[in-house]
Amino acid sequence: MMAALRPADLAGWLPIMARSSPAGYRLDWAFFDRHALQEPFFHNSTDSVLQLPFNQLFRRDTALDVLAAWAEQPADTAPAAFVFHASRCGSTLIARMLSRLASHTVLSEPAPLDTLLRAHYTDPVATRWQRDSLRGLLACYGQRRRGGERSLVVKLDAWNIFELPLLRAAFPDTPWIFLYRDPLEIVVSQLRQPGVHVVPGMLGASPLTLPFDEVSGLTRAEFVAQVIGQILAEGERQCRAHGGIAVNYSELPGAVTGRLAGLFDLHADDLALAAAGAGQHAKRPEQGFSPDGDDKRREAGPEVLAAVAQYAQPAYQALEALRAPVIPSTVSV
Amino acid sequence: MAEVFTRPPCARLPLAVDTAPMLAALARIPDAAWQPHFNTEYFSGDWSGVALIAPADAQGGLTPGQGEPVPTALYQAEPAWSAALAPLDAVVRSARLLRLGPGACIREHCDYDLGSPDSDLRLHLPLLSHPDVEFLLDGLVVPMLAGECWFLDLSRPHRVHNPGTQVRIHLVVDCRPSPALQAMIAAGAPATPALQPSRGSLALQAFQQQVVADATLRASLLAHSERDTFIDTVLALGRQHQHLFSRDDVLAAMRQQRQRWQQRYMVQSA
Repeated sequence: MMAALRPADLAGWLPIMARSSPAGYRLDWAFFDRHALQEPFFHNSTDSVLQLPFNQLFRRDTALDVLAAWAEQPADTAPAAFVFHASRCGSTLIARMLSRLASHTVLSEPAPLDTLLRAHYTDPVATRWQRDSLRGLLACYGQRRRGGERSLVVKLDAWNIFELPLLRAAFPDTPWIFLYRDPLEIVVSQLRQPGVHVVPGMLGASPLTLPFDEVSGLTRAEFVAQVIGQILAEGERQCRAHGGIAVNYSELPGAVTGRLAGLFDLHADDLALAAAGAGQHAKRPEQGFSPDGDDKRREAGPEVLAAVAQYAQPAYQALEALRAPVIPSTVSV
Repeated sequence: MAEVFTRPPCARLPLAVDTAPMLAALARIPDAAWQPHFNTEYFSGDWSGVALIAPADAQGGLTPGQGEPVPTALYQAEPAWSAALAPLDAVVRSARLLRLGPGACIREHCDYDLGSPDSDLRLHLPLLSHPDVEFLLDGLVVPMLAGECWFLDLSRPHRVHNPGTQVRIHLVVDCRPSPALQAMIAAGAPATPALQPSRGSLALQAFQQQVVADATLRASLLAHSERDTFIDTVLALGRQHQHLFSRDDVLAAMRQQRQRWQQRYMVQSA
């Protein structure tokens, strides 16, 4: 029997995939070494390290319980903040701004985190190990691999707002934001280029997945609008219940270096570099970031307007009521 | 409604094959009758064959063809061959004796012409073999023994290695799918012995475990960003640490890991 792997044995390795097997959950690991995770999403970073032939042959496959040892020791960098969001509302922009900093590691929607957060929907006994595994997983992701890191910022998948209480149980003191946007703009964007959660049947087990007979009569626009409406409503509920900070897309990018700078553990001399990151389009770095709300509103026809008004506007209004009045800020670079 | 036949990766048919008459017939085949296999890209060492039944348009009798199956003089000279084919209860499109010489190797490949639902069903009847021969299908050893008859779906990746000093000879038969043959394949599938990891893949696994735990070994492998020199280094370091595996073992493992990542969404929802 091989001795259990200690965190020191896994220095530089990160979980890239969690999967259930007949003998319990397992993790696949790749060697990231000093890789900075600056790609738009964690899976892009993974694609990048998997280019190295070493990672095509010497990946590791371990039981989930190797995370227990990570959970027991103090993390190199504990999570500074969690970013929840309603999709298409600037969370990738935030990631881009923070990941430029040598002091910050930004995890953008790593699939193993989503898998662990939703494990109990298909495997009820998962609640026994989820809390510790989540602590272990983020301690592992928070390894100081480059040398200068002090903060880990974790951006979740849009649908994970439903699992917020579980993440809070593991990290009760970590502040978090819920980022949202005028739902008309989100819905138009999702209709243009659908994400996993707005394609019926793609997401898998989640409170966001409604019974088939509840959604089978909906038009495409209505379906998308009700998904976004659910996420916004849950965001508002969780903000009230668990002290989340509601942030509107309209506040970006200024809020990152403004009212959220402390939450993101930004020091005074980090601000200019982070702000400069906003000069690039988050998912298409060759393009600059520019607010595109007006285009999206013009694109919406009467059917989309009606669907959004019915399914998503009320939750949006509730979030706006919750949000602290803020003076729109601009970036000065 | 009749049950739809789906091809298993492989199946040992519930047939007892009497190899004695075939071995006697085999011994009477003149050496000059053995022709090198047409597919020279994919093997090293001696891989040769004798056609017993071949499509009329097959070049040299060993290649595939669409023509009428024609029995050769060698087939007609020995009743042992027709006696062996009769229990298969299907139209035989080709029957070949395929010989893999000592030390010979067939590299991993797929026979895509066998991959559609209406393709011929390929059967292997081992006549001469020994325990060190490894016939790998999907990376696992098919434990075929003399006296057995196996269906193999060779549109899947497969390779063969015959280490040591003895030849390996199989009678390889392509049949049109018939209800009787399909029924035998389906009946044999549940009792088919499990496929086994190969010696090479076990050696590679041992080396993989050594590498991930050894920072020095890891560093010398991480230094390579170019795939071919990386694989050369893996093979050299493996040998140096007494782990004997082949380039095909390495390529198969790399392909497997790549697939696992590419198919991660399917894995997750499973």
